[in-house]
Parts: sequence; structure tokens; C-alpha cells
Amino acid sequence: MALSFFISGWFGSDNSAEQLFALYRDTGSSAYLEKLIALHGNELYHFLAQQSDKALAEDISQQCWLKLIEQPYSFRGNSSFKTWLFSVGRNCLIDELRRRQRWQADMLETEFVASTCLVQQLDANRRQLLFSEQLQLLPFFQREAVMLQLEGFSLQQISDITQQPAETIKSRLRYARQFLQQLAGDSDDNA
Amino acid sequence: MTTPEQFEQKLQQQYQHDKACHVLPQRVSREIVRRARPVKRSSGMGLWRNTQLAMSCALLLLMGYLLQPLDKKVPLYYQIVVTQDQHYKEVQQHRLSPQTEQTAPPQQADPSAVYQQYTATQQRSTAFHYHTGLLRQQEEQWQITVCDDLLLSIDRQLLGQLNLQQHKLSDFAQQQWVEFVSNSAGQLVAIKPVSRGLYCSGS
Repeated sequence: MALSFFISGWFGSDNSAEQLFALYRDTGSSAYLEKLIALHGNELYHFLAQQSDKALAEDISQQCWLKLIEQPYSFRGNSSFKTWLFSVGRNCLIDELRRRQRWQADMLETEFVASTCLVQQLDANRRQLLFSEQLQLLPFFQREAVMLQLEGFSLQQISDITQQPAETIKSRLRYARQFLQQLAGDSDDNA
Repeated sequence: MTTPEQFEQKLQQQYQHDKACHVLPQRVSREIVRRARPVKRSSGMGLWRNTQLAMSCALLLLMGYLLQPLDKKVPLYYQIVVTQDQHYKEVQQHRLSPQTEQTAPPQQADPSAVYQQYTATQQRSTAFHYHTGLLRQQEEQWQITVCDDLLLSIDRQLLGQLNLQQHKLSDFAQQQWVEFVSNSAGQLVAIKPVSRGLYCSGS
């Protein structure tokens, strides 16, 4: 396995995240770490920033990568590196939100609230929101699900990252998409 | 009216645009890489520690291997087998053996200890006997003949442990007059070359 990484590292310049990670773990070379950060650092940061704020996203990003550095064998290869990274990032974020007492039940469990009600509550100005602002109107878990899907994760991978059943994820995605679609429809109508 | 496909496409575009606006600040990535370097050094230290551990284990194994023959050393007994022959009055075979073939108490085999005993008492001892004989190498054995009175066969292992009066076994010629010393038990104690031979009346 190590040999295959070595060979691919020698002959090919475009390594997958898993190969880069194995090379970093085996050699300790920061060049591989830099490549890994370049590959997935922005994606993780964007996800975290949408789920919290820029300052916290920076902090959690750093924590997440440092965990990788300090405990390189915590990634066992049971999932893709990106899935594992997002899973670690999400857990770090939730822990930090709990620690800062920003983890409130009312911002999480609103899946049963009809999204149409929310749309109806928005005034005309708010219907012209930016995409990121639209996302912020979604409850935490719905936003999380839709962002992970837009990031390219499959239903199973989202289920792995969030440690929730696939049916729950499907439900969250359905509500989130309905809400965003209604917002988009209204925006189009107003345009 | 927006179709689901158009909505999906628009959503993906908006997402990608939003992601492009939220990139990990350079200072954060630099800080992560900077903090990774001490870990790299410590992994080097770990490698050095592992190397030291491996070398220590190898050294212990080597010492164990070297000490092993000492533990396994079995005591050897000096054995003299006396027979008769048509050419000699007495034939003695002197050899070192790991086991005694007799019920009699075995003799101490350590030739150096016996030699020390000999040197300590040689001034007054009458227990040591001096003989002159002709030493010859016969294939794997060395033999000392004293005219036709005695044929003494010496085991090669025993000869290697005998005191040869600061001579090496290789110094002895194929046929050499020697003086050999035996103790009261008949054990050979020392052999030294001599220039003068023995006159045998019968030869």
C-alpha cells in the first residue's frame, strides 16, 4: 500500500486526498499537508462559515487540521478523506457551539415547521436575499444537509458525516429544497 | 416558471459562487503548516528513539547469543582406558568425555587446575611422574610411546587443553621427543619437547 502511494507520488503529480494524506503521514513532509489544505481547506471552511461565522470557522478549521496532524492515525480509511474531514469539522463545530452556549434547540429542530410559512413571513425586501442569506434562514440541520449535498456528498456520505439515518437526511433535504425553491420562485416572480 | 433542473443548476451556481467568496484565509493555512513542523521534528525524534530501542534489542540478542555457549557448557571428565597390546606392555587412551563410563568417581578434568596443583607441589611432590617418550601424530590422534612399555594415545581435545610449556601444538614436529608429566591418578599434566631421546634397550 505504501509502495503504491510511493509509486503514484513519484510518477503522478495529481494525488488524491487519500494519497496525499498517506504521504504526509508516512513522511511528515509539510508539502503534502499544504496540498491537502489547498484541496479541501476552502470547502471545509465554507461549510463551517455557513454553519457559524468566519471567526469560528477559522478556529474550527485550524482545530480540525491540527487534529489530523497530531493524530494522523485517526483517519483509518473507512470513508473518503473528505468525508472524514467534514465529519471531524462538524463534530468540532458542534462541540464548540455547545461550549459557547450557542447550541440551542430552537435553531435545530424546525424540520416540522412548514417552509411555506417562513416564506410568507418574509417581506418583499428579504425575498431579494443573497444565496448565503437564504441559507441562513434554514434551520441548522437542513442547511447542513443541503450544503453537504451541494458540496457533492452522496446521501450515504451525508448520513455518515451527520451520523443520522438516511431517511432523516432525505427529509431535511426535502424541506430545505422546498424552502429554497419557494424563495427562488418568489425572487423570479419579483424580478 | 423555474423547472426543477433549472432550479438545481441555479442552486449549484449560487453555491459555487458563495464558496468562492468564502476561502480559508492564507494566514490560517500558514499557521496550520507552521504548527505542523514541530510535530514533524518530534516524529524524527520518535524515529531516533525507535532506532535506539531496536539497537538495544539487537545488542541484548547478541549478548544472549554469545553467552549461550557458556550456559550450555557440559562438564568434561578425564577418562583413561587401559588395555593391552601385543607390541606394548600397556596401552593407555587418554581422552575427555562428557560422561563417565565407570562407576568410580570421575576425576577433575580441568587441566589448568591440575597444572596449578602440579606447580604448587612440584618441589616436594613425589606424586608426579616424569617420562620421556616419542610423540607422534597418527591421523586424528597423538601418541606417545615409551619404548615398548607404554603406548599412550591422547585425544586431540585433551591435547589442546594440556599445558605444553608455552609451546603451541603446531610447534611440535610430526615426530618429537617429549617429556610428559602425569599425576598420581595417571592423568597427563604437561608435555614439553626435549632434545635428548630415550634409549630403548630392546630397539
